[in-house]
Amino acid sequence: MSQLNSVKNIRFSLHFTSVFLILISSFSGCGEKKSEESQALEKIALSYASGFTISRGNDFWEVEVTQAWVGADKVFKYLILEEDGEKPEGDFDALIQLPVDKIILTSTTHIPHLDMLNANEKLIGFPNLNLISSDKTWKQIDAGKVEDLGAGPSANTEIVIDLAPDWIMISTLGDDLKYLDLLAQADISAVINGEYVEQHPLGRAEWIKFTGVLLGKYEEAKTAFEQVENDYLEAKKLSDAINDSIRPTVLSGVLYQDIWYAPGSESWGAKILQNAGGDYIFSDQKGTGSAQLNYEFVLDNALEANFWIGSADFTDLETMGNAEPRYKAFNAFKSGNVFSYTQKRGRAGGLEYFELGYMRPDLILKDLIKILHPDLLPAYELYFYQQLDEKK
Amino acid sequence: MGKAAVIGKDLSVGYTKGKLKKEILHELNFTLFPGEMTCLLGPNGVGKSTLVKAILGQLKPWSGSVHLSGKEIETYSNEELSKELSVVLTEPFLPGNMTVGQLVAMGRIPHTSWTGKLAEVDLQAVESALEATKITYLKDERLGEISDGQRQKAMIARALAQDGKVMVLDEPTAHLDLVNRFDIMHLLHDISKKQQKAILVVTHDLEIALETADKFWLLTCGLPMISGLPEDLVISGEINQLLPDDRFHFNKDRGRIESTISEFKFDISGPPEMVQWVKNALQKSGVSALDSSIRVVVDPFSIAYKGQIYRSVGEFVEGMKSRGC
Amino acid sequence: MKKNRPIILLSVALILLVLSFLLNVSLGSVSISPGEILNGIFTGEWAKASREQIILNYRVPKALVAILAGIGLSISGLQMQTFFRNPLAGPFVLGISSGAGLGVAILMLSGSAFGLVAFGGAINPWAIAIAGTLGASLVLVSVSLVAWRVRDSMTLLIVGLMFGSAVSSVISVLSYFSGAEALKLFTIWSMGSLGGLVWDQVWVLILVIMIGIIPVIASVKSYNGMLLGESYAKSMGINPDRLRWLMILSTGLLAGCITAFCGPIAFVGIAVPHVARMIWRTSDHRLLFPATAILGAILLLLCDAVAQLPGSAQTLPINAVTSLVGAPIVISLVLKKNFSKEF
Repeated sequence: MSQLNSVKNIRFSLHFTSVFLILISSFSGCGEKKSEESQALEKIALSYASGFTISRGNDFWEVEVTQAWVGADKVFKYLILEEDGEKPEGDFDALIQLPVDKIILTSTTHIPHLDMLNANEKLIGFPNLNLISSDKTWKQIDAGKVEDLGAGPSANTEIVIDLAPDWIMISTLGDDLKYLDLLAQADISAVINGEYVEQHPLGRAEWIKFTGVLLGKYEEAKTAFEQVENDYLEAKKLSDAINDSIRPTVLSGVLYQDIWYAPGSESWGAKILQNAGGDYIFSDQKGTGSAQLNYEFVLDNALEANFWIGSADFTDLETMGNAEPRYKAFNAFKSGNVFSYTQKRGRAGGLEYFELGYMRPDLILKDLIKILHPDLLPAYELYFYQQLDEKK
Repeated sequence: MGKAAVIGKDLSVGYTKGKLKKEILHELNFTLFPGEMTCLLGPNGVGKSTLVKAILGQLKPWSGSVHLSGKEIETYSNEELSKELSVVLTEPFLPGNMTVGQLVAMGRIPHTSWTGKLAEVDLQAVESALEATKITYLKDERLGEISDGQRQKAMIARALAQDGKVMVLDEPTAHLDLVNRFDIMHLLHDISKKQQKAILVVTHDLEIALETADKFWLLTCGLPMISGLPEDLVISGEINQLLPDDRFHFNKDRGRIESTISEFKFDISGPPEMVQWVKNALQKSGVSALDSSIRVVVDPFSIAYKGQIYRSVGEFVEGMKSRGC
Repeated sequence: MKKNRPIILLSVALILLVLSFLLNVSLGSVSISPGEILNGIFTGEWAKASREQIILNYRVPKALVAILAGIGLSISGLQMQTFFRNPLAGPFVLGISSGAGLGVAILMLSGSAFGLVAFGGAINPWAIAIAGTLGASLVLVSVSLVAWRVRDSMTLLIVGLMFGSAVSSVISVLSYFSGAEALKLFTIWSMGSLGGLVWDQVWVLILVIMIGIIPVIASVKSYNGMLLGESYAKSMGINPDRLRWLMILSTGLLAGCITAFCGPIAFVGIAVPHVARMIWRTSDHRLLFPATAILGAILLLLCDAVAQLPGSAQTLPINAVTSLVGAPIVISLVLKKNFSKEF
């Protein structure tokens, strides 16, 4: 009996001593590192996005999301630590340790980031798999590597916690922040992607850099973005040259009951339209969201519009006319000049426009230029948009 | 007397609740004659409503039958029945906006066409009903603005306008004041005679019924129903069936219910009726015994006792009390 | 003179109806002068092609729908108030609108909620009408059966509210799991709108309203009889059970179909019969039904004219206006001293 006790005592004191020593060394280590790091932060310039900032340290990155949602009053700070990196001072809303193997995304707009950064195999969960278009991601899904997180408005919390990802990317309108707290409690790093707040077409695409940093692939992200930027600006040069007088008038939106929902003139959708050389009918409906207009008003102003671009999910004129016979009165409908973004669908029916659109504004721009001024891009073929067929 | 309007033969009827069968009326025999007002009396819960419902055809007899104008009541359709029978219930919810005229006109519903438009004959019926109930002057008044008594008369007029052979009224005077109660019972008796209707009234007003009814039906728990002229029932003492225990009895001489308490012996002389009232007061007052004789005189009224003269019964009783009797 | 008062009032009401119709058609977001309208209708010439569209294919059908809905909802309300002997009965309160909503919700949302990816925009108007009518009738039957067993008026109201709640929760569950597009469709539907129908649908609605009114005409006398309560009604040869089924048929068609097409429209069913009673000072249904119908139509025409917010590109949902108008009416009625007596 007494022998056991003495063994226990010795072991205890050994443990205690070692712990004590470790603590002391880390504290002393901390002090030195601190002074080094505070001088080494380099701010990385972003060209179009205004909703986040990236700062680079020696072996870590700091990302701040300043516009997590429309009218956000809180700034979110995230820390990405490189392998073997030392954690700097400061409060962070999420801490991510590279390398990262398991991530969860919650919006199809984030999927193209994985495609372009060759990081599909890191995805372990996504809500409502049916919406996904990306082939590379489907390979992962087929291999059983991606968990379906449910079809409700927010991903199934239990499964998320159970999967224990290295980080989860969410988008929010600002009203469900409790979800964040829940995840924090479960020690899961949640980062907010606020790309939808950007109104500049390239601003949304630039968020690939956000994802890039989180995966430790900033350089690849930068390259990918620059390619898109290039293509976009080139196309824009073409349309900039268009004379104002030959801008066709463009109608957009659809009727629900007797209210017309159309993009506000300062929205992302309307901006690209203007950039493509179109004259948006509702250019005086200010706003970055959806404008709700009286049917009479729309009829009065847009009956004679040349083009109708953006008519919800319709793929053919017959279905569209049957759903709402009032559409038939519009000139654009009568002449068949109706275009919508329904050309490409993913395997399970999800529209690729909703997935790839944010990331490839160059394609959207080229699509629109092709529609409005086809002679400017003779060889180009429409990617997202299609002219609505007569019948199914 | 004439031909009977309603005949009940060996009628047994009750209620079933799930598996339990409860018989309320057992082999009842009764007859309602036109030109007569019959009053149905009995304690609460004895089955008066059940009997009324059976007569109205709302309850199927378990055994026996109810005949209306010679036909079994079950063979009548609801519409045919409404032309023979009308009802007045205790206190309905009436739309305040409706005029008396419109209410009485509703009695013609079984007779009018599908649109409800009143023909000449209907308008006539309404007029005579209003006259018979003496409320013609109220014709254009709104129901929300007349008195309770007037409203009940209007309901009777409505039942009258319906022009059936039989009228059944369930405690029609329950909520009315004294004058109205007399008024309405007299009115009903009047109508039964003048219009040759068979009227059945369920009531608790024994005294008013005695004065106005042609027939009584006495219903008591566990005993066969007694029917006959009110006067016969009084004389034979059968009227006492209404008063099951011995605490009360019907006093034939005075035509009223009195409590059965051993009378105190008072030596009172004077006109019998006056003597009676003085005794009445003395019994209630708690005066136990009086040794001397009491003399009652009328014209003017006075009571003499032990040399004192009292002008009213109240004075006398007060006097006795103060003496510590 | 006094005898003719109701007839005079009816004539005045009819004139007001015509005026309201004209007013409704002249007012809208886009200013079109009455002169222009008349010119266009009679000569076929319009200042702008869109004007013709607006008047003939939007405002006129909308005004007709307002009239039909006004008639249908107010008559449903009157039937229910008399039959259930409850001044607060109406399509909304007794859960019928919720029932119609459920029918439509199942149609619009379950395709999406149960994984069928089909787009919900192209729904056949007949399908909507049938779904709404069935849903409304189902709730009405349930409420009636309960009312038959429980005679108390107050209990009936509570039962109606409970049914309405139960149905709403089912709808919530369906909404929670459905896709964005279908959900948007349903949400917009539930805000109510008179202008969402095209001529084909308007014809269907006219047909249904006409069918729905037939049981009413056939049972006018019975409704009068019901004024004194079921016992008296039975004693006068009226069959309350038959009346109940006729009422269910009529109200299910009227309120159900209108709600299915236009979304739930509040207060018209409850308030209008009372206003008719107040103005005509009668309980005679031969007068009340037409009076209520005309008043209902006038009310909706005027409310819709207001909801259009003439001159502005925005529109108010029709429910907002009918509630703003209807709620004070109901409140002032309830506060009147003689309310329950007069009913």
